[in-house]
Amino acid sequence: MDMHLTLENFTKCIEDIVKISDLLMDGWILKEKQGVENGKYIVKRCTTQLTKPDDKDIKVLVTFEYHIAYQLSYGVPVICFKVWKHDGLLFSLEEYWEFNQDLKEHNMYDTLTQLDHPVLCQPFLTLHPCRTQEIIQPFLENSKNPVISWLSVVGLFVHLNLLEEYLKNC
Amino acid sequence: MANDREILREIWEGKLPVCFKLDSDEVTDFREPDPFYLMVPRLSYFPLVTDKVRKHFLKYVANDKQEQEMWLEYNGQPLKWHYPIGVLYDLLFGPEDVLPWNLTIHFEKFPETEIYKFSNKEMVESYFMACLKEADVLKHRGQVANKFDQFWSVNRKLMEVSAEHEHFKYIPFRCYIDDGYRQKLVKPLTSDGRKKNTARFDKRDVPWQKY
Repeated sequence: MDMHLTLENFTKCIEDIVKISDLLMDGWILKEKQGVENGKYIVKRCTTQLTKPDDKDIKVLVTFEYHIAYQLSYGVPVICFKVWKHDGLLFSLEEYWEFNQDLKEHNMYDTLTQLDHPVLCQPFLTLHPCRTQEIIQPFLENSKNPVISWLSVVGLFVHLNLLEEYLKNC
Repeated sequence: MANDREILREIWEGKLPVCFKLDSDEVTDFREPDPFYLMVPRLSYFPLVTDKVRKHFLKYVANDKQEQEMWLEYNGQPLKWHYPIGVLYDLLFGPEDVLPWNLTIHFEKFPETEIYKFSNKEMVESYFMACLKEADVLKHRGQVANKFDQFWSVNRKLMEVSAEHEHFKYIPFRCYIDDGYRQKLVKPLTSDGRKKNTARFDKRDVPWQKY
């Protein structure tokens, strides 16, 4: 029998992430949309420099806004994000691909794609949730916080690095 | 499924008359462009049917705007091209409005926080496949074109229940409300074990009322 991360468990996990983040001042914020079953999600903004993999001289300073929400149909957490350049314009999917070699070799439209935010129903760049169950499955029994464990695996693909403090709690 | 073939075909062939006009603020030519009329299928998506519309209006907008992505607006709202055309019409077309459906074309100020960019057809396909995949996960725990017959030869397989399970796991559906949509996990059986379909949904299945 497949084990799933339940919505209750997911909510507890993200609330714990926010607690750790508050101690570290790492910036994760809990948000909630009223009247929606899976309404709770967390958000973090951070600024980072991206380098083009095939031309190390091309660098660009960008701001990421990450959202972690619960995808009801797949029964898994989802990480989605927006990327702004400092002229205020959003990165398109293609522009983001240019700066991300890790995704280049896969079928990109299947891996990182534009999808609706599971709560806000607005377009976000999203790591497609169809493989998440495979990744998170082993953590469901062994991790105190499967969401952190899963993020430690997939975060790299989207330039999200977790501080060690989080990993001590999973 | 096959018994309803006539009805399914009627639905498949449903079309809407649409009149496209370029936003007058974006016209840079001294001539006003003629409106563009088109019969569009309800069961399609705007990026798949608006190539000719784009071509028609392109010569009337400023040169530096021509490369920009075209978007559609109705009554001040950008149309979410990733919703099927029929759904958009049912959501936005008011009882006082008259056909043809008058849509405004824009090349400037793409509302990128509200609608997807669609720089190519793969983007549309990718979104459609993602929806299909999600529905398949809901129905089958994830184990498993534009011509009516071709569509059904594939869709029949997607609509079959698998050998081990008598029913779909959940019924895949979305309720389009206001600005977005709501989803819920609903099993295809009633509490007393009878088969359930969307016609038998009750308040617990769709608790979102529109006031």
